[in-house]
This record gives sequence, C-alpha cells and structure tokens, in this order.
Amino acid sequence: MVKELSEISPLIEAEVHDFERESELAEQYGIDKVPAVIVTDGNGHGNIRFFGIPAGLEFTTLIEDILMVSQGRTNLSDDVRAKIKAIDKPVHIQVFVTPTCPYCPRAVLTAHQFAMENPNIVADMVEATEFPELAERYGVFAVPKVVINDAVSFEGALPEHLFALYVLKAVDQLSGEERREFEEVDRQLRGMADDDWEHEHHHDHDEFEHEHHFHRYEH
Amino acid sequence: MVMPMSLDLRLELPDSEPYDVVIIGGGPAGLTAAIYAARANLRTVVLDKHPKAGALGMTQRIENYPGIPEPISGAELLEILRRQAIQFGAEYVQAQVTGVDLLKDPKEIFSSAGTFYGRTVIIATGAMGHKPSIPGEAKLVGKGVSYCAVCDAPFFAGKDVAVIGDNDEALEELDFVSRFAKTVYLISHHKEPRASQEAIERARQLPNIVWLMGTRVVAIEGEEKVTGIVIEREGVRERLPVAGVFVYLLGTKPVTDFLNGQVELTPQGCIKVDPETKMTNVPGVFAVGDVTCKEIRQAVIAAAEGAIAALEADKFLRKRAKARSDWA
Repeated sequence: MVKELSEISPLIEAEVHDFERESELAEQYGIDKVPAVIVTDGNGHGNIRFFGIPAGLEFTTLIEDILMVSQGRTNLSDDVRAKIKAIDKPVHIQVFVTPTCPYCPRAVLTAHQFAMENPNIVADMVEATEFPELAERYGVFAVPKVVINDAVSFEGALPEHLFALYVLKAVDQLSGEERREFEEVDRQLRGMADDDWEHEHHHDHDEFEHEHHFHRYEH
Repeated sequence: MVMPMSLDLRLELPDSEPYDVVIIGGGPAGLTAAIYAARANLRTVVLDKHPKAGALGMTQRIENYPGIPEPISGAELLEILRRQAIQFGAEYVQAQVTGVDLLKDPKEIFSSAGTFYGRTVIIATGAMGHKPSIPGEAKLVGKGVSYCAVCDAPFFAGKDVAVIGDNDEALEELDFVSRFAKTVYLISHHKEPRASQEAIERARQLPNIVWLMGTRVVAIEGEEKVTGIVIEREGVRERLPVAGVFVYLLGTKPVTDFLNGQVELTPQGCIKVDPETKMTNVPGVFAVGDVTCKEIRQAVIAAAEGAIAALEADKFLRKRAKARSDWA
C-alpha cells in the first residue's frame, strides 16, 4: 500500500524494512511489533506511527499525515499548539481503532499532530483487531480508545483542546484552571453512571415517551 | 547550518473551501434552514445521519402541516423538504457527525463522510437521544456496551451478542454485527419491528439472528466486562449469556453528545439559545428545533426556527464581512 502511494507521487518515498533482519533499525525507531508504518520527512523523529494496516477509514489519516509532514505544519490552534510544545517529558499516546470506526481517524490525527509539534511525544495508531493481546491488556472493547503513558485513558474522539488536557494530565502539567476543566470533562465522559441510578427504575420510560410523540404529531 | 527551504517540495492541496453554513441534522428544522440559507445564496450543506431518522422521519402520518392538506408520512414530508433545499443549491450528505471543533475558524465538523468546514453552524439534531437507562448499562459502556456497531463489532467475533432496538438504524447495524458475531439476539419490546419494510426484509435474510420481539432487557450484567443480560418476556425472566450489547433505543434526550460541552446547555441538557436569534453562546453557532427543548414539539415550529437561524446566520456573515472590509 505504501509502495503504491509512493508510485503516485514522486514526493513520497517508501522504504520497506524487515523487522527480523533489521532489528537494530527497528530498535532505533522503537518498533516492537509489526506491521508498522512510520511517516517522516527523513529528518523527523519517527514519532508518527501506525501499528497494523491503516486501512479502511484510517487510510485518510495516513494521507493527512503525509500532507502534514510534507508541509511541516499542523492545523492545531495556537493555544493548543503552545500547550503541546511546552511538554518536556516523554509521552506515549496509543490510539486504538478499528478500520470501520468513523470516530477514530480524528483521534489518530490529533495524536499525530501532537507528535508532529513535539518530539517528546510518540503517537501510535493501533489497529485493535490486529493486536488482540494489546487490546486485551488495555481492556479495549470500544474505539477510539486513547491510552496515554499507560496511566490516563479515555474513549471517544475529543476535540483537540480536550484531548490536550488528557496529555497534560498524563505528564502532570495541568495548570489550576486546566485541572478544573479536565475534571469537568472527565466527569462528563465517565459520569453517565450517575444518571443510571436516577433512571434505573423506569428503563422503558424513554421509549414510552417517544411513542407519545407520534400521537402528538398526528392531530 | 541553514536548512534548505522545503517550500517547493510541499504536497499542497487547496484548502477545503469552507461552507457558509453547515447544518447538522436533516429534520424539519435543518432542512428548512437549508432552504432559506441556500436561497440567500449561502454555500450550504446538510449533514443527516439517516433520512428516516428523527421524530418526524418516524411519524407514520401527518395531517396538520400547513400547505400539505393530504395526510402523508413524516418520511415523505422530509423528502419534499429535502428536494426543495437541493433545488435551491443546498448539498445534502448522509453522514453521522462524530465531533466538532467550534473554537476553530472556520469551525470544523467531523463526520463519517470526512471533515466539513463552516463559517457558521446550525445544530438541528433533535431530541431522540437515549440516556443510559437499563440497569448496568452506564457502568458497562466501553466494557461490552456499545452505541457504535461499525466501531466495535469486530471485538465480538465469534461471540454471542445482543442488539437492543428495532428502528431502521438498529436493523442496519444488526447487519454489520451479524458478520462478526456467532449469534445475535435482536431484542425489542414491540411485537413487530418499527422499521421500514425493506429494512425488516433484509434483516430477515440474515442467518444468525434470534428474534426476541415483545421482550424487555431488564438488566445488563458484568463487572469488568459484560457477561450477560436478563430479559423478560410475557412475565418470565431469563438470563442470556452475551459478551456484547449494542443499544439502539430511542429516547427524548437532546442529541448533544458530539458537542463535548463546547456549547452551553441548560441544566436539563438542552442547548441554550438567544430566543430572538437562535444563536448559542458560541458566536456563529445556532441551534433550532427539539434540541433546544420546545414546549410544543411540532414539525412546523421546528421548521420556522430553522428559517430564523438561516436568516440570522446570513446576517452574522454579512456583519463579519462588513467588519472585515471596514478594518481593511
């Protein structure tokens, strides 16, 4: 697939490496599983990575990554860019996806944009069905699932400024105000359990009310 | 050392030209907004999850919509509105909106059909959202409870799963789930699915479905992950071991999840708007119809609000253009 891409444009060069025979190179780039694709301009840090085939909807992400690396700039807002650039500790972002998930490409692209802005950040797409043992280890049953430094995780495609809060949380670089915002977002993402109690005893209430609507339309 | 300029090597694509108006939702509010926006010569796109979804799309018979004296179905009325919007130059795209970034300029709308850019956004997603309501459901979201079959069905390859719901969307997702799962229990408390005949026919062809109509799910069980569900049929309870539960129930919750808190809501979860202009707390972002919680939920009211929002969006764009030209 990567080779075919390189045949379309003279500006794209594909290098194919053998994981077994070129173990030194693999180690240099921190490649611990295959298939793996790294998008880099040659001077880059090899921190924009795909594990598993970027197929299906993720193919768009690969193309967007190539464009991003080629142009040497991201589409992040100035505010988010500044926050991401300020990170001075190593960050490993893993975004678990499936090829048919419409929410996933945005999550991967956001992670890759962060990696583009800051060499301390390594961002991986992980195709969950190709690495079931990893999916199992991180309890992935719903995608996109984002795991940061094995410590912080969330599910869903968050806009970049909220995604950034989770990255800052993982390296303990949240300001007071950001911490409050983070806690609010995290509570909302996880907090559906509160509603559960409230509604536990009328679980058919939703559909009942909905039927009621039909009648109100049918005067 | 001076780095060589890389300008000439850039793989440059033209920036996607933003729309003047991106409308999220293809019900009466969204489509009327499209008619008015397109007619005002604004570049307009409607993003609609499903042409038959929503409160009007599922209404069997409507007799009180002004100007339509013969009873027609809600889906037929939507079809007419769609045609009218497209006639004036609006684009219609069937796509599920998965997220937005309203802080950006232009605003970004992420969807299953790619990213759309809009100078203004009109939110018209209605109020048929489901709030986790089955005991165990909320606790097990992401641990076997899923609202996105195309995302998560691959995790249940060769396993038994349940799909709860019986509308067109549920049956389409059922198709996808059935390709991975061993057995799929399709569960609805209705006697017959509330879906189009063709969707039902297609679902009937699938080989590995167990149809459990007239059945309620009273609990989803499991701690770290889903292990089973408890169903009740004709007063008899039974436990079914399943690894996954896909929930496609409809409710009355305003559909705002995709906003991730970027627009101010009321304590009831409805989008807060200026009653005159329908603008939210985010400049250039409007909300109309049931998502703003109406006292009276009627198609004609939603449509009227759509018209207001489109004209206000037009005003907003002109004002901004004027401000820019004055400054320049």
